[in-house]
Amino acid sequence: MIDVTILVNGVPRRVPADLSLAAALWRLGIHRFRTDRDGAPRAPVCGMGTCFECRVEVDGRTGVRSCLLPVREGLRVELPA
Amino acid sequence: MSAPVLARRLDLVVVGAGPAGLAAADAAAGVGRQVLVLDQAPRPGGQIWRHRPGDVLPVEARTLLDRVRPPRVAVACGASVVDAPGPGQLIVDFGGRLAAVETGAVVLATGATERLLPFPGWTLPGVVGVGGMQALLKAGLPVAGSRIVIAGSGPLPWPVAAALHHEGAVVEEILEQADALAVARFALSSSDDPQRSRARSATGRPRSAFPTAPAGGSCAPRAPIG
Repeated sequence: MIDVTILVNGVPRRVPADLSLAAALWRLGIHRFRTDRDGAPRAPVCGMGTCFECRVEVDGRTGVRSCLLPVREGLRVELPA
Repeated sequence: MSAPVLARRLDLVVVGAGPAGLAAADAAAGVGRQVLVLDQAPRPGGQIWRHRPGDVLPVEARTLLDRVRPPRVAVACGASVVDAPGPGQLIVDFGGRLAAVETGAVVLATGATERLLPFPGWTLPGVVGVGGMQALLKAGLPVAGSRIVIAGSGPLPWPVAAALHHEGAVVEEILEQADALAVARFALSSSDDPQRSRARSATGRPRSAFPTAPAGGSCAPRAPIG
């Protein structure tokens, strides 16, 4: 399968093309997609765009549901430290 | 709201490109209506016919996906309706760009989502809905070697358990709320249905049970804004 490079907090990571961003981040071992008000890590739950748990910042746009977004070359995603 | 207005005159907007939405769009296009189908997913098909390029789909899905595509029907994926400010007016988020859409009618075919009953720990990363796991699997999540416990009730946990097993995950336990008799009845009732019969055996080969054909989903990646 063809890989693409995405930038995770500025760090280039190779992931297979045709993955959703959620699946790609999970595949990279990332389990903190965002942080809730109590400081707890949150990650995908529904996988189909209804729960909004997997929302991340992509190319400067906040609140993007990563489960609905296919990865593409050069995509920039910002995650909590 | 000052959003650009979709230039094309529309008779019908269908929200949701699953089996119901596709069927509605196909029927309307069949009597000469100008139809736009919206779906928030990257490709049409909904949850049931979710696919990636190269996946095989049931013939029924392929047939409908082949009919509901440009130029017969406009299809926009990665698109969500965010407002309906007036009759026949929709504000649509086409992958980050807002546009106003004017239409004679709207069909909502937004489908269903899982009902997840909260329990302590349910927000921890790694706890996902069984439908969510199925969606993530189809979105390319590798699970080989993962240890998984499935808890809940209904028909979906079983085929997802079979799919996880098929992909190399270790399904440690399936915790089914219904009693054994109800599960047995379900298994028997599923025996004549190739899709549901996947549930009967974790060693089944789900793909071989389908009449197969190349995937046919087609979709404009962004707004068909004129």
